[in-house]
Amino acid sequence: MSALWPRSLVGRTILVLFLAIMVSNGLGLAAYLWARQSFQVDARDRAVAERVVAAARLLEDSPPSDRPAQIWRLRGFGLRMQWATEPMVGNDPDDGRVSQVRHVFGDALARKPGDGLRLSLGTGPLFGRGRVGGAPMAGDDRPGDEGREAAGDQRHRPGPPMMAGGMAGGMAGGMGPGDRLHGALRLDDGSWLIFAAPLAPPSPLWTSSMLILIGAASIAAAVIAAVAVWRASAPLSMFTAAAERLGRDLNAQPLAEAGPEEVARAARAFNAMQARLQQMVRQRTQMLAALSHDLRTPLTRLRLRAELLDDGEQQGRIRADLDQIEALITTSLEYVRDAFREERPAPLDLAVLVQTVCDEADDAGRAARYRGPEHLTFVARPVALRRALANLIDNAIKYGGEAAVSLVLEPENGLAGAIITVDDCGPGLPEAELERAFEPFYRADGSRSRETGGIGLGLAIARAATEADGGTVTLANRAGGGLRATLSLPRIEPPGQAAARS
Amino acid sequence: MTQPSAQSLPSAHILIVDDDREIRDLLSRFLGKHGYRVSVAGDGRGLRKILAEGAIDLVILDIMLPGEDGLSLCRALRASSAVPIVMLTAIGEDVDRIVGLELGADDYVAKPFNPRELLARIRAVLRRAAAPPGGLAGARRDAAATNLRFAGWRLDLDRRELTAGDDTLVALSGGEFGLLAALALHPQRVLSRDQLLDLARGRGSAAFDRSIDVQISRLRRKIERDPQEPTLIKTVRGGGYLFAPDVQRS
Repeated sequence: MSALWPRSLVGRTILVLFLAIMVSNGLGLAAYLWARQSFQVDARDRAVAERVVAAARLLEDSPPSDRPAQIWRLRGFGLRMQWATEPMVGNDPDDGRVSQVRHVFGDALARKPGDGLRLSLGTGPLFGRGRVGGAPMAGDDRPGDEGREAAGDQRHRPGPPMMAGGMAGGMAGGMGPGDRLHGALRLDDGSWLIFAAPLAPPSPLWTSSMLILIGAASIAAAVIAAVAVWRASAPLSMFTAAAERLGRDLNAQPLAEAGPEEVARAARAFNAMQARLQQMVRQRTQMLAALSHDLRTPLTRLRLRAELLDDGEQQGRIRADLDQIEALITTSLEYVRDAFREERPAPLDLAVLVQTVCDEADDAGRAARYRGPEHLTFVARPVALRRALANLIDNAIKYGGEAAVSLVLEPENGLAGAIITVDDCGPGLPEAELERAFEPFYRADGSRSRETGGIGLGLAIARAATEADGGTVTLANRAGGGLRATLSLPRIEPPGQAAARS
Repeated sequence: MTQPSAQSLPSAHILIVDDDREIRDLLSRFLGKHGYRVSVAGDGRGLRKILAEGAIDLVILDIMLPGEDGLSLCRALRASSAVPIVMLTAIGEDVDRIVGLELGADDYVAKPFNPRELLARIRAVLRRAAAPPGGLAGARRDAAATNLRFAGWRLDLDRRELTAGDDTLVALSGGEFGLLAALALHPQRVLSRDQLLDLARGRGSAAFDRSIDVQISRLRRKIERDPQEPTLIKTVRGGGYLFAPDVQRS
């Protein structure tokens, strides 16, 4: 079941709708069939009853001699009738089908039939040649018999044309037990009108055209439902994209507050949330900016005082402390400002950029080696990327002694993205820490970190700066020991423009 | 690390303009300790008064001043005098730096500055100012020239960017930028390593920890068609380096 249960909301809704349509169609079909059945049966019974009752009235008004001819005229619907002095038909218990028919006859007679009506569910023809032969049958068509009491007249005779042909021909063939109604209705002179009629045949429940119709209706409904659900869920994709965009860039374009009422309302709420987030960040940035601004003067004084000291050792320590305080302020400010987003991507020589960052680290007396192409044109934000790389290289040197940097182009979604790796030979990090290391103010190891003077923002800034370019930074432990930072940048220009410069 | 040789003008007279009394005093003690004569002023009025009184060799000018701010003082000063100016700007505020340089300041230092770095900048600026006319005095930035074009390259002095002919940005380290700017501002002229050091430092780059030769070879890898056969930055035997291409300023 769970394998059949779709994961997507659209899939689920379509499946549920489809099932609901099937159930609804099924129930509708059942109701229709039932109604059709009872209607058909009812109509059939009614026709028989009305004809029989009409025949009875006609016979009652006709002289016995005319009666067989009258009956002949009233044939039809497979209905066969005879006039007789005896009921000739047994009475079945008054339940089920019999009771139904009796009720219909009651309606036709406009009174309760009582024992003046005998009904029986038969199997074969009632008026078979042998069977009716000795029976007293109505139908003396001699003229001039009017007014004579039919019941008393012993010269009954069966209506031969009716008996010989019609009965056998009309009723023969293929009927199962209980498929015929046999009955006798007492006329007001005490004689009986015997009748036999086929019961309404059960109509086939499933015809192929019915199935095709139902199937087509279900599929059409499902298709329409699918389109509707698809359209209705489109805003969800929009919100997903917007949330992802917002995750990367707080100043992303707000959503259009248009469309259906619910969607517009959700978009308004989303935009309001974005505005509140922006305000929060702005306040935080302003606070830190004010802080660093106000620290400028005392820090400048402290630096000057340190230079005026005569104690060389203390002077050195104060300078180092001041350097750390300043680094803390500038990097914190840099981090909260998230200024990398403001930079515009530009075509740049990525290989030269990576090489330059390595050179700068090398100039500062730290071991950074670069391996990769001499030139590689790529589109990125130069300042942000440089900062990200510098931080990764600093980190590698700080904790792993040296940084081995490489640059390769790697196919990614059909476009060649650039992958920069920074390897060190340090102790690496526990697997659980690899992702936490990107949290602001994270410290791998408090005591060591203080010695090395980090403030725990390097990787956080590297990640923020890379994500501004739509790239990613991850850490992994190398198989041979040490940590590898991988910075991957997506290609954000049409392919072909990106051939390596010679 | 190569320091500028001797203090070229040990008795130079420096005017400090800052509204913070303590910084004024501390800075004047610091510079005094390094052999300079120092005067101080708290605002534009004091600045003008002291300038009128005597010969000032260099002005250290804070941007944030009560009344007339540092930028407009800088502009006014530059209009009437050639006295070198070093601006004190806010940390990381590039706008101040760029505007200050455009208004004719010779250099800038961001607060909170490292006093020793300020000292190095002061020395470099003084040395440039003292260079004989027709010498390297042209090193001072022509206020209008922010772009130098040569051999298909464009060097943006404000944005500190080197752009190739196809608009591709080519990254430069701070030292490389200073060096290339110094070379491109003095084309077709032999520059010794010491001269290059001074000029490059004046461009606001960090102190060199690498020899000029290493920086030059890196620059060649970036801008020369064939770094083995340089056509742009040529080595002059026994003399130094020469920037060969024509440079257009704009």
